[in-house]
Amino acid sequence: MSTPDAPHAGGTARAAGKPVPASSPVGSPALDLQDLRVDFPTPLGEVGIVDGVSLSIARGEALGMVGESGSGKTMIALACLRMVPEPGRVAATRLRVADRDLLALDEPALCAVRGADVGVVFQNPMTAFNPVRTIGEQLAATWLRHRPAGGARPSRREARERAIAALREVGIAAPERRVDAYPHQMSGGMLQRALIAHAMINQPALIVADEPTTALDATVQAQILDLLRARLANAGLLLVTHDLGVAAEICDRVAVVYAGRVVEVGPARELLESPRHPYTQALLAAAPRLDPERRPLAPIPGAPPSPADLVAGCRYAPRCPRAVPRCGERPRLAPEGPHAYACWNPADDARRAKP
Amino acid sequence: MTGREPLLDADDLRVTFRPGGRELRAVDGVSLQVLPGETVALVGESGSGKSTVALALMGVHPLAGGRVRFEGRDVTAAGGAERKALRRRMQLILQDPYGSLDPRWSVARILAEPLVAHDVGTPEERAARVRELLGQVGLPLDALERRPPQLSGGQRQRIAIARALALEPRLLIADEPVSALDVSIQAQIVNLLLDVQRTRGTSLLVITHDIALVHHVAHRVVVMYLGRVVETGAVDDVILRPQHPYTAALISAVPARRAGGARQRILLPGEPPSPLEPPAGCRFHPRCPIARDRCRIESPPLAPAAGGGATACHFPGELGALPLARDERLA
Repeated sequence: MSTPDAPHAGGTARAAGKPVPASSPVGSPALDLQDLRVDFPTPLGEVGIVDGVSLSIARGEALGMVGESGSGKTMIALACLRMVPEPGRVAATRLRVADRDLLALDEPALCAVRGADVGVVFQNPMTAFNPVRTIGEQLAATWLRHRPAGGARPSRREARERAIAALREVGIAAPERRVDAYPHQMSGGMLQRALIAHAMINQPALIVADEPTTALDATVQAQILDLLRARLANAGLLLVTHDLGVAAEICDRVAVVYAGRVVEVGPARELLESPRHPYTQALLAAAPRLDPERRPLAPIPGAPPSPADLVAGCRYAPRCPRAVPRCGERPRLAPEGPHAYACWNPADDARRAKP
Repeated sequence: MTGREPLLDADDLRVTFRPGGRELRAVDGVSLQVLPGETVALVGESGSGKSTVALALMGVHPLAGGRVRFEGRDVTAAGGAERKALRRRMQLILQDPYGSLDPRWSVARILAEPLVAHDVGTPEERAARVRELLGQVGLPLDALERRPPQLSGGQRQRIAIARALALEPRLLIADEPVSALDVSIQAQIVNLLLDVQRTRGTSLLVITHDIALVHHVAHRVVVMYLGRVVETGAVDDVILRPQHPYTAALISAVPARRAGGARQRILLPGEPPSPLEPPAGCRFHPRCPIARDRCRIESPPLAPAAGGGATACHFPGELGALPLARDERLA
């Protein structure tokens, strides 16, 4: 764990360790999502932004959801909060966070879930906080709002103490002073820490983080990723990002999304070392990396399809070098098991191919 | 350095802003050179002054000090006609292709504009040149009548590059040319820039925060922190054997593209301080894992370092490279 300005911080630290949650997973999965669809009506008819996505995240597990702009990854994240904007329509056969069925809840009940069972960290912490209230007030309000009914109403002082403790847990130095700061008085990295504190203050079962480090500098990004991983404890994390490297660095599993569908999902390391879906392979080959060999970058031909303009069957087929006639038929995620891919002509298993 | 005469030679550049009457030294004594046909990467985080250097070189920001030589001539104070002539040979590409192209203009007009401004050729010759440029950046001719809002981000950045190439500059300054684009599109644009350089011998000054990109495109690297150069050298020396602890931390922050987080990370505490109140001594010392008393008092000069580069650190190489793991060479 790094803290921004505590004296012991700095130096070499191991990057965030792998799962081993502090306490053993309890209860139902953090997220259980089956066959999610998000449709938007357009003059040309319904457009499916998300088309049959199933994901599950265990307690203490981090799942990275990787995709390019327009892939629908943010819509999937919003659906987990039942916050898909109007006129979008959400349908699923199952959408459960911990033991709550989000499909069965009305808006007031959903408000009770958001901030309590699901915490959220957005990309831009500058706009996520209300600029005219202090950080402490906003953390305290979220804590107070979700105290169980019937019990003794906690005092404001107690709420303030909770806010200070939450800020301390995310490595903000002098939290008893910072609790009274307004958002504009904090740096981007510190605000993102405060936003994580806000997301975690009610110990949610699921944390949804949408590009939480994209607005931050490289050295600060490393701090925030480590913090998210280190503070996860018993919650599940859905990390939405465009950067496969970021996802693989802190997540146990990675799901790759293309044009509203999951095309490959698997343990992070396996996905990077032996991607089977041609799109995952192409994403890896397109990004520069610190590789002494400096392979030329391999761009993906064409551009992601617009949601109004999708082909039948595999949506990646028009850009895919491995496309076969059968790609006109929709591929399902297979095989059963931790590493699955939706492809009729998957790449060879790179790990088996090695001598 | 080879015996070649630098194309661009910037010495001790200073740019000062005065927000609210306070002095902000955005660029505080930065020197850099670009040789003919060379790619130099200028690296830093937000607030490091890297973009200000680009704009100062283009003559957008007035210099508070320093000297710029281009093709061997002093162009520090170039203005008017001389500055205009200079722009034929030195062009700028900006990060945001949404903001750098006039949305109401057709692609044909955008690409012809530099030719018109510099009075190059007849209208027919210009039209031919515009078509040639479009081909060079890999866009079909039917793009000519489109306007920027009808193009994708990658296509817009191609147009921005084509416009910058219109006058056949010897130096292209590209400020975060791909950071607004998706990964798959980034590769197209990076390859296009490398191709331009290979086929035309154009020099590139690439300004970026992306170390993996630097490693991929640059011959030499200049690392900035809070308005100053902290390290410079050949790309492999800097990335494999960084001498400055800030460089080492930046490199270690690059996601390893492998799971498990087994790579050692140098986690820097805090964030870059405000350039309005730079720390005394070495500007990096409040975040530096190896800072000592001397660093708090004495600002280290940029001095030759092991490996042929230069670094501004009292204890260079002490927090050195963390070896790139073997299995980062995923095929």
